[in-house]
Amino acid sequence: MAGTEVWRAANLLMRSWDDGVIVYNLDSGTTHLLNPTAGQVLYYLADAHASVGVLSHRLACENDLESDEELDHTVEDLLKQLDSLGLIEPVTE
Amino acid sequence: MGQNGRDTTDTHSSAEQQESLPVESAKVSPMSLDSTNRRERAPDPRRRILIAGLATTPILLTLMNRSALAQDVTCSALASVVLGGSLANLPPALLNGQGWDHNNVPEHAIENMYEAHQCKDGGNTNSNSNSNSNSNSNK
Amino acid sequence: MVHVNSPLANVADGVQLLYKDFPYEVDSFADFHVRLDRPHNHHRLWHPQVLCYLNDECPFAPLPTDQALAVFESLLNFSIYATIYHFLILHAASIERAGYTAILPAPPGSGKSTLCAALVSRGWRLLTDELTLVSPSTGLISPMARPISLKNASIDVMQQFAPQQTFSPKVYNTIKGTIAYMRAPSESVARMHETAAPTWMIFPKYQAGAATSVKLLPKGAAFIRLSSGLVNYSILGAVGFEAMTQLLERTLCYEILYSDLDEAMGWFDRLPTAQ
Repeated sequence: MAGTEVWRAANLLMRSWDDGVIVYNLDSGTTHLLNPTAGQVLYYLADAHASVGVLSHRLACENDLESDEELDHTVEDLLKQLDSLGLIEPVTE
Repeated sequence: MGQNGRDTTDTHSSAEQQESLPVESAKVSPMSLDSTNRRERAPDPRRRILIAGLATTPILLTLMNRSALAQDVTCSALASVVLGGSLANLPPALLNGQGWDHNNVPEHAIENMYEAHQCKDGGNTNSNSNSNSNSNSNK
Repeated sequence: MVHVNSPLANVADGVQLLYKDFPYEVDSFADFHVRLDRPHNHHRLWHPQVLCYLNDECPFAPLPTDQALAVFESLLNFSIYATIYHFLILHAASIERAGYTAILPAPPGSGKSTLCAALVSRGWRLLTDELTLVSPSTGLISPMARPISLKNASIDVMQQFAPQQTFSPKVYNTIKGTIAYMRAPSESVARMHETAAPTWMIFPKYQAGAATSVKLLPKGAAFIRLSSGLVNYSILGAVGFEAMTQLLERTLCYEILYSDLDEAMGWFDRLPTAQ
């Protein structure tokens, strides 16, 4: 996965609860429950296309932290998982 | 902007601290200064929580998709759903060649559907007598 | 409306006993045609068996004739599983009192039916014991008020707990062991056309010797627990998702661990005042 690749959420329905985000994929019919942090990333990608760097930076800002390589790698790993589940897709335009 | 502001502030804070060190501190060894720097980079609990939230089993549940049940309910279709659940309750003939991926299929729903339906084995009637011996669950 | 046809005495007797208060008509339109009969082979007389038909389709393997009443009840459940797509169907009991409704989702061994039967015998209205039908558009539960299925030790427990209730004869050697049915109270049957708005989602768990304990469940955890009892969620697609999430958002979700039926019922008795 290239660090500059831009991602967006797939065609999803989402609900946010205290203990997680429940997600329904309208294209595949699968349902997933993400923890709040992973769910927040998905909400970000539903709001706007973003790369690993942008997401990492946004997460860091929202948590009053600095972005670093560890955060970038963790976000990248999460995006791989979300991609494998069909919850996000690369923006090709 | 906030991030840049914080970066600037943090950078200035470090410089100010070094400039204001007492004379004694100015004589500390490079190793001590390294220790000080390591303390300043000590993991922030918020960072640990954030990293853990991103990295630790972020996907908790995947439920079955519509294809498993989106067809007329016949015993062969039910069998393909049942295979993801209570294998111990299946007649042997239904265990082969069904090839459905049933990760995370809810077992309870499968058990009840199987018990309710008591599917025929490939179109042949199948006595239920073999299934009764271990049935002593309470509800 | 179900049309029932059977020459078997235990079916006729069972239906008359358990569905005594249900309205009936002769030769009217029916949603389901159910027939239970002996097969036309040597099992007609030798090790007699019963075959069941739903709308002339035979979905089940033949079973011993003395299990016919249990087959009948299973067939009715199957008719709902197989054909009803305009409701979200949960494998759960539902009960109502004073306008407050509790859904009791139930994995096997949870003690759901025993708890349901006990609560119903103490004044809660039975909406359903086995399958809760939730309207995706309104979120309301449509009752069925069918007999409550009790298994094995629960049968004797309930017969001692509520001797005034009506119970079917026991059916032995079924896939679930021994089964008996408790007839729904007349008032529950009389009100089975009254829908109910769910208030609580309560996951019961019977554990011998356990002290009664209750905990509030967050919605995500409740969704996971409920997922094991979803009958047609996947078929409904986005409609099912919306119905499920709205159901959870409209209800308070609890888990109750118990071994003492009276203690568990005491907690249920306090529910409306706690709202």
